[in-house]
Amino acid sequence: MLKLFTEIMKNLFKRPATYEFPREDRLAQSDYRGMQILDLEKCTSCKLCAIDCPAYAIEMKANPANNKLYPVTDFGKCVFCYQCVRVCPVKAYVTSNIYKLASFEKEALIKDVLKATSSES
Amino acid sequence: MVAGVDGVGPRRLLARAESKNLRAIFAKLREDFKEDFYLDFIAPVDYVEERQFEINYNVWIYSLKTILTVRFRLPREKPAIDTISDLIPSAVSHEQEAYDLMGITFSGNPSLRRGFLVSEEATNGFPLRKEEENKV
Amino acid sequence: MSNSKYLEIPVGPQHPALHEPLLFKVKVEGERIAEITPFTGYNHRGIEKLCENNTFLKDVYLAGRVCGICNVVHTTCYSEGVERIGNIEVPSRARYLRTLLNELERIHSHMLALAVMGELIGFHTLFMLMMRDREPILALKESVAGNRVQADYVMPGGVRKDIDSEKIEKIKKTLEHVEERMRYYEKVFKEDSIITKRLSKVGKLDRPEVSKYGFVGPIARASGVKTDVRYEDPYAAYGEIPFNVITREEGDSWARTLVRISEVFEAINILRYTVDHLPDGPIGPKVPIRKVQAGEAISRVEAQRGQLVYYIVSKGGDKPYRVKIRTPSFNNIMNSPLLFRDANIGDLPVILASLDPCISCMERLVVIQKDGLIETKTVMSLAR
Repeated sequence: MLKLFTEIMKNLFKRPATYEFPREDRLAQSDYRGMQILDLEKCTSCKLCAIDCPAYAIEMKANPANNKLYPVTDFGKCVFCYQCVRVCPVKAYVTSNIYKLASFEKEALIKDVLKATSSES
Repeated sequence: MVAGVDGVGPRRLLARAESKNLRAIFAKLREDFKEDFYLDFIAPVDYVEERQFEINYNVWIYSLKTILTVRFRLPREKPAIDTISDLIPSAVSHEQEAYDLMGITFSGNPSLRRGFLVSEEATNGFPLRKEEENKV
Repeated sequence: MSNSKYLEIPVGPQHPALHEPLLFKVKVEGERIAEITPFTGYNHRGIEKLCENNTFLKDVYLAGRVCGICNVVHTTCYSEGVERIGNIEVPSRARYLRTLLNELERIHSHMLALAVMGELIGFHTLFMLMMRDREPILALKESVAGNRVQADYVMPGGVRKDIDSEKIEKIKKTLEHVEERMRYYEKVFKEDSIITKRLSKVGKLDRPEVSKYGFVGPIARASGVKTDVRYEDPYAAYGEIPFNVITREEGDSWARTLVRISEVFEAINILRYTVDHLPDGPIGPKVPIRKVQAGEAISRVEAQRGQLVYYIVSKGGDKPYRVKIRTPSFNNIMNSPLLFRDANIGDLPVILASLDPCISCMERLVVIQKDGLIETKTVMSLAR
């Protein structure tokens, strides 16, 4: 026990190593795999992201303006593996490090780019 | 005893044999190599179109630095083979797993039971067999 | 009540001495352990059956979710298996990057095992200090792979992201800090009298029993058997990097702990060599690999707990026919009653922590019926 005594005395006067979240904000690094957002202009409706998603979280819906299909992601099922980002042939997904995605209703987790104005968290 | 030993890649050997020679093969391995090898894993595979089970015994030999796979084929209607758990004590848990999931019986092993890894009421037949058999 | 001179104590599945669900039925006579039997099956998820129903592309993510703390080695082993079947060549820079992430994970997993050993003998201060010093390694993993624990980084054909010189500088600085702290912890484990008295001569394993019962990993190396997959059957870039295989002769819990500490220093040296000799070139294929030709392969890697083996059978097409996973904890834990002879009931957590169990690696095979388990039961009882 004596071996740790010097260590304990040093740590008595140091700042604790705990981050008091949510009072202190703990930022993720810029490379963190956070929420991915679709850029609707570039999407060509090839459906590759929906076919290759391992968690079956992407569903193709029809755009009422021009009847093209576009993908809608359910972030309750998404595991953030970024397979959709990798496999898209036109690089239509924008990556970010947003990780604060919790909400009180399940429906708020289905992020649809066309309805973005009403359900933003 | 053994039909032939082929090299199937760097540090991999494959041998095919009859299932009745299992204990003789392992007794000879124990006699030749003594403590120089250990049983790595037992892998059963279900070939449903050929109506056969295939069971692979994989052994790692320290001094030769290779994996030796000994392969047997069993008929699908009644898959049974002898146990080697008295020669090699670590085979007990591998045989329990093969029985619980694929349904291969090892005669002479008293500790085989359903419910080792998965409970019997929750499954429909043996879990890892291919779909044809488990259709309700 | 036939065995009335024995008292039967169940340890688990929820117990403060275990970090994961496992049931040990222990029969004690006074303080001495007379008989012990492990029961498993609490953590089944059906991964081997799921792998047969999904494509090769999606199975990489399934293989990475077998275990949280060894996910990089599982994806590496799966990728090596698929590359062996399809004769796919991996570029040189990708092999070195795979080695880098594997060794980072080895360091953080061994630090966790040592911290848990400290906690289970009552040394909570040591646990807290080691966990604080483990945080910089997780921050390194986040900057290299994108996530602190679950790094979906390795895929068949190469790796997914590249690193630049700024990250290399960060890696070197963090390694200096971690090495200095680990030297201090090595002194604590070697010289502190409470730790040596509680760990020495407990759970002794002799050399002939290692091969008879099939123990692998640091447990075998602490009993004098020089076996390591990186040295005998090299994969990734280990054939080109010089390193030592650590063995000790005593075979008790103290030797197993010291083998893990020395392996952390070896991992730091391998990391420094990798970062200094990183070759240039591509890091992976342009299009992901979807179809694999017919064949089969056995691929082995050295996980933190021993040797991990994948056996993959493919019949052409885009789905595998059979995937068999044998994790090191299966061999180590199911044969562990051997180590508990002549032990007291108070030595049980010490021996268990020195074996470093990873139960979610151990059990991953159960049925997944597409209708769900409840429906299966009623259909079965109604249809017959």
